[in-house]
Amino acid sequence: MENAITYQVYGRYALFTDPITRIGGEKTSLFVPTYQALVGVTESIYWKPSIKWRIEKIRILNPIRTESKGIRPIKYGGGNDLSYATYLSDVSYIVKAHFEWNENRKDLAQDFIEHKHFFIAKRCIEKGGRRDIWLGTRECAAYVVPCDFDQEQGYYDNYGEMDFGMQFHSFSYPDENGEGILYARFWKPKMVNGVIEFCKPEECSITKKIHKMNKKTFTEGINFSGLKEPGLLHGDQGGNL
Amino acid sequence: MSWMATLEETYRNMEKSSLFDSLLPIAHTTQQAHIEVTINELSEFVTANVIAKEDAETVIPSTEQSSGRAGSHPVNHPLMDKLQYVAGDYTLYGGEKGDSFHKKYMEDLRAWCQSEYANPKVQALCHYLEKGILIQDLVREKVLHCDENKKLYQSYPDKETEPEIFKRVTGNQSDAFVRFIVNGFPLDNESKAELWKDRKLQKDYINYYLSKREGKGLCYITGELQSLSVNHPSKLRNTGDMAKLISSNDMQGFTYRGRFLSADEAAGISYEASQRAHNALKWLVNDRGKNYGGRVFITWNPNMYEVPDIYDDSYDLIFGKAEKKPVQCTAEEFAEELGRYMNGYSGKISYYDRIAILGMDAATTGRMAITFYRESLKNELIENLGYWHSTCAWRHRYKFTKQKEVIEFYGAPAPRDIALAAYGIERSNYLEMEAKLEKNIVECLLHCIIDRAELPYDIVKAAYRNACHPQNYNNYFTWFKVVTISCALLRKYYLEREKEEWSMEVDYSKESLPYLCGRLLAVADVMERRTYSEDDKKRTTNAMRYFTKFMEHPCQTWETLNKLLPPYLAKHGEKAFWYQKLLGEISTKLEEQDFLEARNLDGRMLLGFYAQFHEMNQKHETEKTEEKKNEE
Repeated sequence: MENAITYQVYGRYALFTDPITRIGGEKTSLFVPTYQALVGVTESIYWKPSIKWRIEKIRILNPIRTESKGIRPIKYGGGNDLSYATYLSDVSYIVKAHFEWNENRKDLAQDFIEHKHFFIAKRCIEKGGRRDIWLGTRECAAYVVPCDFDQEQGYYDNYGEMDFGMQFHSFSYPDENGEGILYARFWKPKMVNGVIEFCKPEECSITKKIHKMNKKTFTEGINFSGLKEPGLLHGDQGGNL
Repeated sequence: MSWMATLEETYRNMEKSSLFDSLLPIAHTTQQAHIEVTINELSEFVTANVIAKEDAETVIPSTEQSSGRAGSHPVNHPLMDKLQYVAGDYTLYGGEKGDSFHKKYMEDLRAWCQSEYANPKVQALCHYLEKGILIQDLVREKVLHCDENKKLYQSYPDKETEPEIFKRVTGNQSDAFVRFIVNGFPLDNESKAELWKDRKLQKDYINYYLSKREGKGLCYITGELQSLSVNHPSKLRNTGDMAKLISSNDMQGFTYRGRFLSADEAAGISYEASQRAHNALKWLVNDRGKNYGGRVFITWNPNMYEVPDIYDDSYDLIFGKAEKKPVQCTAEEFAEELGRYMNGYSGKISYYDRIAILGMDAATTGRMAITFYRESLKNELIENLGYWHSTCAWRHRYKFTKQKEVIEFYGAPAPRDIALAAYGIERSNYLEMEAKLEKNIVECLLHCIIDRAELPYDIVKAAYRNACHPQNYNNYFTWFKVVTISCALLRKYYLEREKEEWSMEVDYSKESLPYLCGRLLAVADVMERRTYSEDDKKRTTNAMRYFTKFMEHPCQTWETLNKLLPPYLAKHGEKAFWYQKLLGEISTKLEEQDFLEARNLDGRMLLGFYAQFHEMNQKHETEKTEEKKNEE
């Protein structure tokens, strides 16, 4: 049994907005993707409420370059504004992730079938993901292809260490922490020869409480209708992947 | 690192170095002061005078609110401020803004004096100001001037004998800004009588201010729980610049809405980190900022080691700081000097030192964006810089010494000159261009310089097109500048995309059609120009006139041009044969069918033109000097 997947994700632009610049609207990207952005990408490939995606590590293949664009965002009350957004250009990453059961979802325990989720996730990568993939921000469309972690040559393969200072790691949502609070987590990423090994979310020493938030309930027959299809609960039945 | 963390680190490093003195301390700002008041340790008035304009810049303690004050209820600065804040008798002498400002100012000053960070000089000053006789003293000292009702003049009645203070203060003399000197206390390296120069006092104030700040939260730069800042500094590119890098009063836009309910949920920056980063940024912009149409670029090393100037052309890069600058520099000399220069840098700082490059610009008046940020390892940057200067190189003659001597140098042009060559329009002998275009082209070229990115096709093509339109330029030198810059770009372009080597000398083995066509045109041009007498030096040759047409339809145009040449050939007499032979040699290499069908010659035509043109002119000059020698 296996629960880990690797895939390559690439796109012309990426914008993992630095929160400092987000509040003003002149968005500038961080140099490397955040854990949360990669969770988003992986969830776009495949996700069910019964699983949690964990990102293990990422390889940065292309040199880190920025490119700015003049953009014309709309305002809340109508009309428009002008601003500059600074994107990462021509990005390509290889991501290794695995899933774990969402233990806060005991009500979905009958869906904790490793074999099933692993093969669905694999098929989803081959098809380029279930939903649209984007890197950080919606306008940065990206593409997913199957790939081994060490398959490609990277620009930073022999680069040594690179430090990024303190950076946003991920959010802790109420249905994952079970506390009814939204947390932001921070860490100090370090890239060694092009690879960033993410620390586990619960190992992030710096957290910030954002506000109270309730977890969403799923009630069978109202907003949840899965698990009824024949054979679904019995894992892979053979055949082509 | 993020740009903000790197700037913060830079400030910390600068604080420890000799640059400390030129650096603005945190929780301080600068103001233009008008009046200087001296008191003694017994809180007695000693003297006062109006400050000369050159000496007016004063570093004053400030709070987060006071440094960004505006509107109808401005907040006082903690120590030195305008008369309405510091003078107790302001209303008595006809001040219109009321007493509340002074009351608040005194409250704050007393609070400081009673805290554990109190400074004896400030206490002495506080006692003096409590007397409320500052304007009275200034009037007696004839610094301020009253009318017969004992009120300060709004404007002085007699323009001729107007006292100094009216010239210095914009508006009313009651708006004057006051700074203080407190005599009678022991002085040393840190402590000075002038309160705005007193390092000890600055430290006391910083400690006091940081101790009383509230609102702790997570700082996104340092990762510590610190007092957070709401108002961040502006005036980053220049003193009139209101745009801020960090602002969060934008409830009108879709900036953090959705997941976050307020700006402080989305991000927090501590006051200390914000002050350090912004002060370092301002220092760097002031020291080495390059402004291209409003977009400012800075390059620095966080440890403040010297870094090469990436926006320079090769000449300034290598000889910029040299005392003796050569007026001529050949390709070989240049290669040697460049190698020496790059080696010099490689030795100075260690391999893993970072060099940061930051560009910022504002799309609106209120907000500034980081449009460019890169951190490179030093060696990577220096290698890429060397690559740029050796591949985008040509011989240029558009620079002048202070004595208006032409500098002939070999190397890469500056990004701004490239932008001008590609998109500039000649106005009164100089190339000018739209600011918006300029900043984008320069930023684009920056990628080519520091990342080894390929030259963008549009820039090369635009420059080449301009070079093919000599009629668009009044000044021959301007056109020739565009030609040499285009050649530099074309050389790099063909090297990277087609793996072709082109040099400045005529390559007789090259049989590329555009190259040969370019050579033909150069022969026609030089031949005709040499028949001109001194008087018609300004005439345009037929070859120049048909330059554009020739590039578009070489065969047809050559027919026309060829018919115009005989009269000039005739003038050459015996030498005509030499020209005819040269034209013949080039023509025989041309494939007839290809020549007939050729349309819109590519950039190699310009390279051929330059090579032939240059060779003939050089030969001519050596002949001339030899003739002179023979005559002697």
